[in-house]
Amino acid sequence: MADRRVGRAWAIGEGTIAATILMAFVLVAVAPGLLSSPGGLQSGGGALAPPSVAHPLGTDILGRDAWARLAFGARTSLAVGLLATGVALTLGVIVGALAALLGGWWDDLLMRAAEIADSIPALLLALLLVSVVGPGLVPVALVVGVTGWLGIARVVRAEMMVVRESPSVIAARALGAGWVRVAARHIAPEVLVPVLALIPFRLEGAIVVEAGLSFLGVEDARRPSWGAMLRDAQPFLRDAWWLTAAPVAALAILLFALGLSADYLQRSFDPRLGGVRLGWELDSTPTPESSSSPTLATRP
Amino acid sequence: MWRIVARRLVLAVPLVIGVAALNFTLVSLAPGDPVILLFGEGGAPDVATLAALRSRLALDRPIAERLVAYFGELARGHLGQSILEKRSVTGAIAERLPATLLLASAALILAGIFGIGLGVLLSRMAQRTPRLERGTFLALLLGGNQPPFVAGIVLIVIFALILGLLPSQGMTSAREGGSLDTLAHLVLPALTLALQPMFAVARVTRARLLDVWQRDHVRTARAAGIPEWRILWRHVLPNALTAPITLLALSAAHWVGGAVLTESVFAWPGIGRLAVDATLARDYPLILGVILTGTLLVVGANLSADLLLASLDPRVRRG
Repeated sequence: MADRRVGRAWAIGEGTIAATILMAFVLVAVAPGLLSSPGGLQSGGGALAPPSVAHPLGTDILGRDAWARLAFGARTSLAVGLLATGVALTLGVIVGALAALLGGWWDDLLMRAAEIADSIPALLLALLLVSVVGPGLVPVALVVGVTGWLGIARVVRAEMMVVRESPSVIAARALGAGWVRVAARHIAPEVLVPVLALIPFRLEGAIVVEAGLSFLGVEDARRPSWGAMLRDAQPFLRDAWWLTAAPVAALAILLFALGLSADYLQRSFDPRLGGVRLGWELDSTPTPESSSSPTLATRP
Repeated sequence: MWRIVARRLVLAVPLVIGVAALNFTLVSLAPGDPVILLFGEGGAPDVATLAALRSRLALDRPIAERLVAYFGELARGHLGQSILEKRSVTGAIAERLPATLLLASAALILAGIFGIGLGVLLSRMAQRTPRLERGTFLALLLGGNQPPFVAGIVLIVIFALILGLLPSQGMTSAREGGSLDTLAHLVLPALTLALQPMFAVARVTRARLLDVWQRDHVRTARAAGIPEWRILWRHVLPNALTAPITLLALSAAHWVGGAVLTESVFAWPGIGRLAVDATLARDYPLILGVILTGTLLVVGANLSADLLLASLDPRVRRG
């Protein structure tokens, strides 16, 4: 397939682009002070000032520096993304591994539970949680993590079932390796590497839900967030368009880089699937070997 | 066929009960006294009135007991009284639901038609001009995979502010009204909500088509001299359609969130906006009602997808 070859040749450049954008994002998120001062988050300077040397992206209605808010907003996005991904990974890996190891009745029960968790509209649950425990990054990340581990559990379960019967594991056991060594050296890499390809989707989900909640205005307005910037800028779409352009561009580029890295990781880790398993929300698309729902998951 | 419905319902029952129980418990554990919240800004009357109200609303009972009572009410279709709307939650949701359903079905149709069309186009490009196809894919990834509050604002800027073609707020204009006016208001929100699923549908359709084009029955059809368009229409597409349908159904929960955001961007008067207003007002009965409605919509989407898949694919039908 010509497509595959071209895709792969290009994928190297694409991976570099995605990695560069993501590294820049992480750098800004980790050290927003390098590029701007936290003082910019305080009001000061004129309201709705157009971009200038002092304020590269202008100021908002409260006179806060848009560039500083953008830089510190990256930190919010990264924090939510990492926390939610951590929760989803923990749940998905544990449940997926248990389902594969225990098998039978437990397997069914655990995977049904994963499907049920996946069917809960995360944004609505987050709205409820915010109204109950108040705004905060942790509740948002928890909701996204708890409703988003089905794909990880499916991949772990499927890989686990293949790997534990694989010759390398049997050989290692035959050579007298203990279970811990077998699990760490032979099973974990096989099982966890495909999971890596799902991480960009979890990051994306969490970043979108956090920005969405901030955009809806139910989050703490003082916390710098790209969603909150968008919300604050909406009334001035005509007069101060740069206030909208900055967070729109930041979100669009970050989500593009995450999508690109997901595509790249998938191509690199999963040559077997080639271009076939290319779902956006790929974790929602059941893999053939892990088809746990006999109806929706049936594929030729 | 009935086995599929039965199976989906067996999964749906614990989902709905679980969501309802989880939400109710969360709300019950919330800090703050709901009775005082009920009086809102006006301040609370004396302690005796509060205690009387608390016992009338059964708030002095244990959570488990209230949960059972809540399920009893749910079973009878009662969702309680909305504090914000000052009427029954069922009534408030019933009034807003049609707007959300209109927006969602318009988006679904757009996502289905354009997504599948785009998928066909991409798969043909992949076979003939792979570099162009990859470039198109990257452009779509940048432009098409954006959440409603990014895509919606960009669409508003282009079509409402710069071109002045379409209205960007609300469902009807005060002066005009009528279905044509509603349609004009529907275009931008529906496009916004449809964008991500459209892109997702295009991706899975493309991938599946590339696979199906290689199959033996297609080769046989070609050898028999059947024209390409007919092969696509009769022998390739029906085989490929199960993928986008599955995708749309499985990510239904995600689209519920998308609808909430889209309604907020465009001031669309559906249940998503209701949920946001309810959250800001801490109107728990209303939030619970909207989440339950959202969950039922997800269940309904999954069930209809199952039935659609069964009608498309005999293997699914036989289970």
